[in-house]
Amino acid sequence: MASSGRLDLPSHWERQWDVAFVSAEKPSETDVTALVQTYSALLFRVAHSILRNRAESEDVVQDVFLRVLEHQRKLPDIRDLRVWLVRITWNLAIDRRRRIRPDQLDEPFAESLVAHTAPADQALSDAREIAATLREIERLPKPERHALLLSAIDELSITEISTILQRSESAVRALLFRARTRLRERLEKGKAA
Amino acid sequence: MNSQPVNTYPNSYPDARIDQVLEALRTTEPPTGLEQRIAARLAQAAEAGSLKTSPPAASSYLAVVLSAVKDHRILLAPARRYSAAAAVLTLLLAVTTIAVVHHATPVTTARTTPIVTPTSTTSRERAELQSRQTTPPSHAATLQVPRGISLGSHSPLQAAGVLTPDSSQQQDPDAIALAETRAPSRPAPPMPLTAQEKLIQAATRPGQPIQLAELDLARAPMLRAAAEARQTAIIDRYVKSLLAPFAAADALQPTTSSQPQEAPTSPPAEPTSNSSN
Repeated sequence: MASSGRLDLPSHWERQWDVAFVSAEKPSETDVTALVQTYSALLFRVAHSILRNRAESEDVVQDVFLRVLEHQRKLPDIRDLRVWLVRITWNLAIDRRRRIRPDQLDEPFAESLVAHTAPADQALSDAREIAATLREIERLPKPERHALLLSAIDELSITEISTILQRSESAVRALLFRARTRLRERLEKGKAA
Repeated sequence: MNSQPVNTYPNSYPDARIDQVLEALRTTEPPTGLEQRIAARLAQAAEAGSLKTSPPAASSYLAVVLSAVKDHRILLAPARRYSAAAAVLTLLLAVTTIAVVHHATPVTTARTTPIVTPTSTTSRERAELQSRQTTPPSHAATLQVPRGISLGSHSPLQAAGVLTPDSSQQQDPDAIALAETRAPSRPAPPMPLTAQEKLIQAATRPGQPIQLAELDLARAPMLRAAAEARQTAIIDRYVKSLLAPFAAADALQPTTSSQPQEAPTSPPAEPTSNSSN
């Protein structure tokens, strides 16, 4: 975070800053349209990391902006609007994930990651490996899983992840290390089984 | 001899798979038109009345202006520069227009002359009417319009002979419009039947004149005899049409057809003597 309270942004995000900084930091009179233009892609990726389904993720993003519209008068009181939006998206995606069987979402996503030019047996093998990886990610302890999935979103820094998860930055780093180690061990164990 | 374990999960490179999954989540692109769909849903929600929001254009300009007051860098932003200038110009133009229009033309809300004047009013009624010059005339006191006046006319009250406005009021469109507004309403004429209603009517009411006439007992025998004669004539025409080819053949071969057929004769009786032989 910068000294003025503004978030440190990646270089590719600077382009959107001109549109965003009016409303994102201290939105005296928040422009919802600018918020949609600025944050819809980020929030979609946040929801997609949980749901792994494009249609469901888009529904979650729409629900988030409906809530923004409902709480428009309170927005100027929000200290960090970006983290607030990500947290709302995160919670809504987790709620939606509870209502859907994971295999309904993970298997199509795993198949979409397989190269279409690969032979059929190779593609089937790759899809099974990816599905097993996603399954093991879901079996991780909740704090580790959340830290790992949020770290996959490039726009979120460790500071923001720590704010979203309400933990310290060192705790987030430890969670990420443990999640990665545990996931690797389980996948190797599954390979040997 | 040790056998190789069967790989149910052939995760030869766990780290590679983990990185592949995380990279896929990282590089996921939002679907095309996501922002438009979100904006449409927000607009739909705002129209539904569940959310009380200001118009987006107005709020957008207001946000720009307020933010520009706080932070001058908003005016330097390329995406906002022209919007801010347009907002400021619109605001100045609106304030100027309101000020000029508001002070230039005084607004008169009270009418100083009576709208309509009854012809056969007495002096007392006329005095009452004059006393109500500044108040809107009541419906019953000013307009006594009999039923049957055409609403399409622009002077229904004058056509009915109830009101005779003076020359100044004859040209006053407001008075005419007010008189038409206060004219009594009448029920609308019956709607014409639709095509479906006409079909239903034709199906339920065949309207055959003979069937209806047969209900009259006095004319029943005559109509029944006419119907039987008509049926007999139809049958005769049918038989004639069937026998027409045979009639033509008879015309071409008159001899064969004209000779009467001989009556079958009994074979000659053989003599009994032959039979005895």
